[in-house]
Amino acid sequence: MTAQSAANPNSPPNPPAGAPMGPEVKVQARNVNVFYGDKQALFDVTMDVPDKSVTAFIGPSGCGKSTFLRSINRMNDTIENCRFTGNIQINARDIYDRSVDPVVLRASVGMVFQKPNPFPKSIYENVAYGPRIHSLARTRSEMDAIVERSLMRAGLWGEVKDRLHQPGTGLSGGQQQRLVIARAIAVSPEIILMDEPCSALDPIATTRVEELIGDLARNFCIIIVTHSMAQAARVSKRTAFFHLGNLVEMGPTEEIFTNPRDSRTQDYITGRFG
Amino acid sequence: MTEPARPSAEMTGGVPSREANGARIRRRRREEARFQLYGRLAVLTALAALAVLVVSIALTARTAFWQNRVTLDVTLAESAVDPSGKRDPEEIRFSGDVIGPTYEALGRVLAAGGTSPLPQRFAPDVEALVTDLATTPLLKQVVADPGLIGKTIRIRVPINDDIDLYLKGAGFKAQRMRGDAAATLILTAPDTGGAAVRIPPAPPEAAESGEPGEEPGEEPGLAAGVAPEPSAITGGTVPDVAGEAEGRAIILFEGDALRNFMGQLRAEIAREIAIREQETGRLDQLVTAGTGGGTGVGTEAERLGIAARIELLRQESALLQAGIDPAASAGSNTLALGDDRPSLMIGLRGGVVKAERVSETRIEGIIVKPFTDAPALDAAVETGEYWLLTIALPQNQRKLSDATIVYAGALRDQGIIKAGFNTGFFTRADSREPELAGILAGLIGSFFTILVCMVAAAPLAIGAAIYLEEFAPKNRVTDFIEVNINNLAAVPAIVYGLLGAAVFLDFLGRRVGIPNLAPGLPLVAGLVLALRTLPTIIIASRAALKSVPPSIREAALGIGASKMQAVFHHVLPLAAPGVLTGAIIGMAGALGESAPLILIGMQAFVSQAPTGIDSGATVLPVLIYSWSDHPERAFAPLTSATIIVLLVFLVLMNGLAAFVRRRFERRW
Ligand SMILES: Nc1ncnc2c1ncn2[C@@H]1O[C@H](COP(=O)(O)OP(=O)(O)O)[C@@H](O)[C@H]1O
Ligand SMILES: [Mg+2]
Repeated sequence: MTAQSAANPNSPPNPPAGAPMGPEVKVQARNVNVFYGDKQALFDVTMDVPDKSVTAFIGPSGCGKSTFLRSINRMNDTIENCRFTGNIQINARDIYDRSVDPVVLRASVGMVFQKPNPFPKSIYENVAYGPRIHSLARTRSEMDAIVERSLMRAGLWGEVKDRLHQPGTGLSGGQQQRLVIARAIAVSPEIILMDEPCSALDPIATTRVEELIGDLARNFCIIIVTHSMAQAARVSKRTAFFHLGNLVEMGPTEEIFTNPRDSRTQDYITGRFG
Repeated sequence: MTEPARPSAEMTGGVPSREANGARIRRRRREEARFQLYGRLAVLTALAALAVLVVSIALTARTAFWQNRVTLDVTLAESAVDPSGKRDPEEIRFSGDVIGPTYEALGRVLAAGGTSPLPQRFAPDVEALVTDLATTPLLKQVVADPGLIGKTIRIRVPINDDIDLYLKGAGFKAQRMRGDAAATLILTAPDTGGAAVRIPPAPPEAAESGEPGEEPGEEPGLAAGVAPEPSAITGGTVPDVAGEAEGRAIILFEGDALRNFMGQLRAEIAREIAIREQETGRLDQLVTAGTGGGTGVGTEAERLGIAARIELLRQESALLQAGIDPAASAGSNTLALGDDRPSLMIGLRGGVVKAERVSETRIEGIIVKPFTDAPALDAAVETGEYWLLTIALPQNQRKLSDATIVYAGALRDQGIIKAGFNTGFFTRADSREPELAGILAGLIGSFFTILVCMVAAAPLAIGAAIYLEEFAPKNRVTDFIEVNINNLAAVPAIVYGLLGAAVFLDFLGRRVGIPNLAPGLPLVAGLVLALRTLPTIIIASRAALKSVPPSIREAALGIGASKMQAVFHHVLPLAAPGVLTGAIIGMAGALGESAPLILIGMQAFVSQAPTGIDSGATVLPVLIYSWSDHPERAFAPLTSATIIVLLVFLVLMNGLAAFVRRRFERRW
């Protein structure tokens, strides 16, 4: 493991620097610094992410959005040379604590990637894989139920129920992305991280995924990285703007778009850079 | 690609001058055409080289896949097989003689009918047809079932490699043609002690002249059957009697039926004169150079000997040049045909006469195969009723005697020697006799060796590849390991042989005393080849693992799979075709390896197919190497045939690799 535990695991919950503390804070990040070798990708990022809503990360390419996202499910651990300092708590528990197994953590913090990446297996197997390795189903019918429910929640059931045993890679891009979402929710995560989930999709598929995100927000804490400000505006309740590894500002989405406090945010949303 | 258009005065409306553009396009097309031409030439050259290789090997190998075999009814006389009469298998195994009865059976069929056996003088020529090793299976059969003694059993054995090659038309050429002039056959009295006593021939009878019917053929052949022959001795196995009687005959020809042979004879004498004169020249130089005393005397003697020989040759040559007077038949102006002269055989009346003295229209010779239809007195022979077999290569320059050639041809004409598919090539182990040699020991040895190699190398290599690619931290140590794995793949195979000899044979086998690590065992060979293929498989497997997109790993890790699970559930199955391909290619490489195995004693002569990974074996490439080194000509086609078998296996393995790649390749 290249990432370290937070410097002070027992630190009392500091009042957050810029973000208002909601009643249901799901993810609490404090002074997050991430390094790739000698290069620092994130600088003292501190934020609270509320539960059961969509939070959008925006910012120019290379500003560290993905890096921060991957810190939340410790996917950065799998990257050689990646070093983490700071503190991230989920449900008020430090996820970089020694007692936390990143593999278990990732089951409750699902992730959806930019390019749909279904396993080259059947649709059924794609969804069933997570529950199987986590032993969530004891019988075949329980598994069938999980697969059906997950596909249902991902809005894909109607389209694939007759071809569950055909390869998932045979679906269209949008369907694949929803399959990947179904796969993620099959293990009953609490948080779903989405890294530009629509950037490889056409507009119609994008709309469907956005609708799905809206639906899922009722039950999950969703964090979405997006390049499209329109998308952020459409789906998210809160938006965080990153720039050069810094969290510039974070707030309700309308506020960020209509009345940004920082001039860099202003420049970005008016298209002056990025 | 767009041609950059440079603004110029010739440009009109932004379009470059058509002329300039045209020239440029033409030049570009020419360059492209030339490049493609080079490419095609290169591909053609490679294909042509491959074709030449395959065709030349196939041509050499062709004759190895079929074989001439003789079918005989052998009477297993007790006096030969079990003289003591005790029916003791051990005794029969060590002293039982089955080749004697086999030769007897051969003599019998050659004398067809058995009333008059072949001349004793030609017993060795009969025996040259079959080697005694060929009857080993018969002896085993008798040992297993002594009840066979006294019975007649039918056996089918390969004939000796030299005569087999001759019958297949490989090697020196013999020419058989129908006689095109009438002739008279005169049987002479049996001579004694080699001193020819001749009965003067009767004047040749004028025979009707017929159309010269030439029927060139490459092989000798005789009609079956034999009749009581006045001058033949009795019995091929009768003890030698001094001054034993031999049938002799004189044949007088009406026309120049012998012209072909006389031509060959002149050419041979001229050739020898040229060679001898060269020798004399060389010796003259030595003498004038004044080499030391002893040598000088020796040289002088040698020179004199050669001078005498040249003198004789000159006389003979002059004789031939002048033409031999047929009237002075028995006299001095016939030419003796020694072993160093081309051979002439005349077949008529079911028998064969080998010429020992010859003139333009007359031969005098020994009856090699008795006539079936022997005349009491001089007999006229019609044109076309006899054939002439000429062999330009003198008998002392070939392994096969004239008589053996005559007998083999006769047996083939009788259908007793028949060509068939050479099954023994696949079912027999190595042998000193090419006709009995097979590749079974190599085939099975290769199989066991590759088996050991695969079992030892594949899991290790694939495991190493997975660890290095998926789990190992990327640091100096793993970089060092990676570089050295690549280096190992480039180490010459023979070095692994030395390593294997030192580690497996010398250290583990001899010092530590592990009993199954001895030279020449597939176990050791497989381990050495495992070392050899390890880096190859590691490199191929790593490449296959690398080619699995990282998104698959992320996907698995993202839903909470452990690293192990991600690798073994998702990455490895996707990499499997590549890993398998690498393993198969590695095994194919191991299959073709010879140098390291020679060093660990796989070149031993293996006359029995190995029964396991710990029984002495050889492998196909080493067998090829050993056989290619044999002086017997008959091993050359066998070598090529083995190469073909090896190539077939290699092509099959590579085909399997391609199939695996195609069939299981997934797209993502
Ligand atoms: N695996 C990695 N190794 C080294 N540097 C990385 C790696 N991933 C990202 N980076 C660097 O970290 C910075 C932030 O990257 P990232 O989080 O992917 O940006 P974003 O997702 O906002 O476009 C970039 O400068 C990028 O070059
Ligand atoms: Mg990114």
